[in-house]
Amino acid sequence: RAVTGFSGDGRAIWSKNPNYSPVNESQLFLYDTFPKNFFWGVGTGAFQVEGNWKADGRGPSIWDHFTQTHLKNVSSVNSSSDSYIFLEKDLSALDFIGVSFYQFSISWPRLFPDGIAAVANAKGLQYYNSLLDALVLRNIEPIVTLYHWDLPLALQEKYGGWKNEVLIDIFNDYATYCFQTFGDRVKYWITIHNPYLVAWHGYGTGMHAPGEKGNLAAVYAVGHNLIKAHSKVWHNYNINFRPHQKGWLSITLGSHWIEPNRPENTMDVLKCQQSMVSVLGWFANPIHGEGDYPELMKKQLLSILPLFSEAEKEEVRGTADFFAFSFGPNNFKPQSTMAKMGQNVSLHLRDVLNWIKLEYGDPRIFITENGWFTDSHVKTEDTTAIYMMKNFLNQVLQAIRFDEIRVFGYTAWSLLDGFEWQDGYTTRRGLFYVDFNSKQKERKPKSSAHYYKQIIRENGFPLKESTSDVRGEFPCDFSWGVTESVLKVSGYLTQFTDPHLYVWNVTGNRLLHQVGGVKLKTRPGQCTDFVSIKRQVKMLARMKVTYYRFALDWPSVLPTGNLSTVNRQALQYYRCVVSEGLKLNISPMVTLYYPTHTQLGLPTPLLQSGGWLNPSTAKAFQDYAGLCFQELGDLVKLWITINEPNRLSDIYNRTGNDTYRAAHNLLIAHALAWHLYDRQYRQAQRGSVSLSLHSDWAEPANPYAESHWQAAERFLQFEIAWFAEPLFKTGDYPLAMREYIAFKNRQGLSRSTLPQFTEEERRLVKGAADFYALNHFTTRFVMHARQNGSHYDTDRDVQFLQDITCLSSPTRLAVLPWGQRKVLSWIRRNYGDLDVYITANGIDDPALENDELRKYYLEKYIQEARKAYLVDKVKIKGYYAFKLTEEKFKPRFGFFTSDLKAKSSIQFYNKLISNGGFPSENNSPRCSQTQRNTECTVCLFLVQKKPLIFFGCCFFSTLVLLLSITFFHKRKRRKFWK
Amino acid sequence: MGRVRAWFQYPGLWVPVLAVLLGAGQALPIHDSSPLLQFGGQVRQWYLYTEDAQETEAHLEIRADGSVVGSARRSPESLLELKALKPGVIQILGVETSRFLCQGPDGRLYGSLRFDPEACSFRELLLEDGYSVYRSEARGLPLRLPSGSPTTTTRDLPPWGPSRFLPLPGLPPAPPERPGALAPAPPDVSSSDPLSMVRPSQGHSPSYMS
Repeated sequence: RAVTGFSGDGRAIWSKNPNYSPVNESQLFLYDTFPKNFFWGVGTGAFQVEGNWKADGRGPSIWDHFTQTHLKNVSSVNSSSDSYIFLEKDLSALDFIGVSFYQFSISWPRLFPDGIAAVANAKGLQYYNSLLDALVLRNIEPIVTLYHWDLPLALQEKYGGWKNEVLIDIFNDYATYCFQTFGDRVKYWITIHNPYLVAWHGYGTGMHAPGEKGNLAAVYAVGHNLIKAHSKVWHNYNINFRPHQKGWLSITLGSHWIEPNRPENTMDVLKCQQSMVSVLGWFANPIHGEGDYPELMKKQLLSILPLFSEAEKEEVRGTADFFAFSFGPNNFKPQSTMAKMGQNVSLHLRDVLNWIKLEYGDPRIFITENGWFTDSHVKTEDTTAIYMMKNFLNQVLQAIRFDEIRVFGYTAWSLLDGFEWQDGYTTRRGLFYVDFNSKQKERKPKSSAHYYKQIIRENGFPLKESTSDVRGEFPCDFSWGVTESVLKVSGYLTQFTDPHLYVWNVTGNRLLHQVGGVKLKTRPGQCTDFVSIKRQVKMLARMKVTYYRFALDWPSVLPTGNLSTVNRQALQYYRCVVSEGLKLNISPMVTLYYPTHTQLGLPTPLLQSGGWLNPSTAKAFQDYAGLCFQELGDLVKLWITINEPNRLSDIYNRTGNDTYRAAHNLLIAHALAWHLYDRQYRQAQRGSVSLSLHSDWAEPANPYAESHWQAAERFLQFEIAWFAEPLFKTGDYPLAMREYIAFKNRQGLSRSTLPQFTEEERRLVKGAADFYALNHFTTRFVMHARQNGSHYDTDRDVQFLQDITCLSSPTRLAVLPWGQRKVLSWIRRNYGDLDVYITANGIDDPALENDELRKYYLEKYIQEARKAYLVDKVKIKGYYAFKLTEEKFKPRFGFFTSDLKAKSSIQFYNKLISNGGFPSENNSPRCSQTQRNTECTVCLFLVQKKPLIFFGCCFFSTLVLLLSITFFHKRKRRKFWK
Repeated sequence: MGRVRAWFQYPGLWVPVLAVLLGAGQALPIHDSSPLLQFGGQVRQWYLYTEDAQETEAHLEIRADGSVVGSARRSPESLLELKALKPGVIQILGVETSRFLCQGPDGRLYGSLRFDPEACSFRELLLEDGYSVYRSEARGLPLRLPSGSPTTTTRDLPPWGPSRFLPLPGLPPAPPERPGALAPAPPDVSSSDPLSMVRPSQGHSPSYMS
């Protein structure tokens, strides 16, 4: 057979693609199906699940012996899943998942107790015959491994096991018997499972049976014999059985994966190649490659490595009908014995498949083992296993679809919990849970079994919902905005109001000195004098938004926290921001209070008197709000009192009671401000007031676990309903929240209590918001986790899970656009048909210029908002992208960098705005400027092009003047000549 | 002549000039960059190249063990950061090993992790042909590479190599690593959750980060 791959070609995998993009289709989770007739199955190893090693004439294997002598803490292999007895239970487990094949191994000592293929043990033979018959009956293809590490102990004791060449022929005899006996029903044969582990741990580290260690020569001699045994069996099958049995045969090779510390460093890349070659290449190069060990290995091991003669090379080469590949935890542990060469191990299955493709000439690949393990205490809710499977399988799908790797089958490992070799029973790898101490050993499907079943049924990950089937746009009066955090008052107008003259640094102390007796003429301050406002307005103009959301700095406006000292200049500054924006048709949405982790944003005296734990802060906030309404209310029509009061739980987190008390006062503060507006200002100003809630969506991490569904709903109750329910519905905290905290109290796990609303407070709070404003960033996968402690975080009993297959930002925000639609529907369902503003939505993107992640995020999230508006009829009134600028050394959320450089997402957002949220190219701008600026297009033109018009006039008049002079001069001359 | 005399007659005119000169002399060390120094700031990254009569080429290299050698080829270890301490006086720092180039009392060179102003500051003398000579500020000894092959070092006094160096510009420093673009931490393969998917809490809101 022609081999097109060359040893060393695999190195190309580690060279980084310079055009890498995080949102490139080939990097994202792939919604697609596997090729037709893709082979789906599960696997088991005989020794791991059969149990009953003494029953019915089975001989002891090296692992029986090893368990007794080396693994003292493992009670007994007899307590395994007992597949030998409960064949029917295994079969119904297979039926449950709906596999197309079942990969199992034949226990050599069960067929031939002393290893020599003479007379087979009748009971053992009967077991495998009935297993095969049952599989054929069910239309499940059997895939049979001849040797999964359970060598008959007699062979070990008599010949020294695989160190002895004699084993090659003995194994071939055993194989011949199996082909003769089972070959009519078996089309896929695997000779040996993961020979690397047999040699390395069995004879090198001593962690596997037979437990010999230290002799490197023995390790490579064993490897050598295993390769020759395999090749002998292949030739045997090829000549004597293939003609009439028409099956295929291969050997399962296992491997880890590794990535260079520094991808640009060629030495590191070489080390990675060496690491792969010394594990996978050791067996794959002779069998799938040129018939000999890899050069890198030969160079390193010199005489330790046995030699293949030319004839042997010819014999060994090409003795596999497909590439059977195993990728699982056994090749990764223990880390101390791995050939890492100082590089980083990796779980990128897709990369390994690519490496195999390059090194061994694009073989057909059958993944004969893949999966991860869970800890032994995990029963049927194996949530992490679901995501590991999702991750591995999607990488296989990507490899098939994008890299054109010919994978034709996948084996999830394993069907059942069982004996996990050196780990005994401390880890579990089954799709089915087995209680080893029970009598009946019932197979209970784990979440991963349900998940795998679903994947097989759908043949992959088909996209459930088409994204582009929603027609229509947002209306023309939809407010498109951008959010900014607190605007610090910068620059005062003193230079124009102070009439004194100063000199600087007279005495060398670098201070200003007033010059006495001199008064200068001043002019009234103008908004254009603020340089910082000019810059902001310029940025806003580039954004082409119609709304600008920014926050005031409470301590700047009221340094003492009460109305005794009002900083008029700060108010003037903010008024200028508003009025300058309005000149460009950018309306303001003003947030009164915007706390952050670095700045609680309270005036110092209020902070000192207890901050939000002190009820009087609510009153102070009302005064502050009143002042702002009074001073700015004629221009501002949209007010947000408090930004994300529900997130202050991260700051007031000493005890749960602190958190709930602060939240209570925040609610009262907001309600007081709202009522003040309602009473005094609404008539005249006709604006509306609400507060922004941090409203991320929660999805159960494990959709097959009821407790996770409950945890997700509970999370929403604790996060959103906590504030939304009093305001928009009942005037009291959500019942679910009260009940859960009471339940935790009864269990003795928490001493928190929610405050009670007095009747007066209840009336105050209920209905005290004109619209629902939400800051939505991501969706969290929530798990139930019982916790102890009197904190807000522990009262909820939730834990989070990051879906690794999902695109996410540097701050681990997952991009899950459908979550936004779900939270919008949830809000509508719970609080009625309210007006809704999305007051912050954005992501951090590490790129400083071409921020593709942000563009992708904006497009998808606005699309989902559009669906919520058009399909779910959520009354969305506005969308505010988060945020205008970013700070240095902070996550990069801005459309502009910290030094105010524009990123390319701005243009993208422009286009979305002009198309009403519709991302298509050919949509002509619908809501043309005429609608907004009908008053006077000419005036606008004149205003905007003032300098050009002035220059044009000057130029024109000069031209006229010059022309007329020339003209007159010529006429004069003519006269003169006459 | 009259004009010159006029300069001296008004010592007040000299005050600002002197102030600037003295101020510069006192400022120690000068900041790495300044808006006044438009062309890349004060820190220079160079290779110190030298050659001797036998036309052996060498770049001064500070190794991680503190030894100073001449290497024929440029390496990360021969990239040096020359930074002015005061006018005419510089410190020399190996970029890769973060060791300062210092000179012992006997003229031997070594790389030190600690900056010792006495041993590690050098006066830079520019020669007409573009080469420079560096002398230890405290000891006055010229900076020289220990010359030649190991076989010649058996003699009592180390044979000195050339003392004239040609500073060759180094590569511009790499742009700072982008946050978030760092390679993710390798998986913890001994764990049942090798990719750290499960986290106890992650309530933080982007609004609160700014």
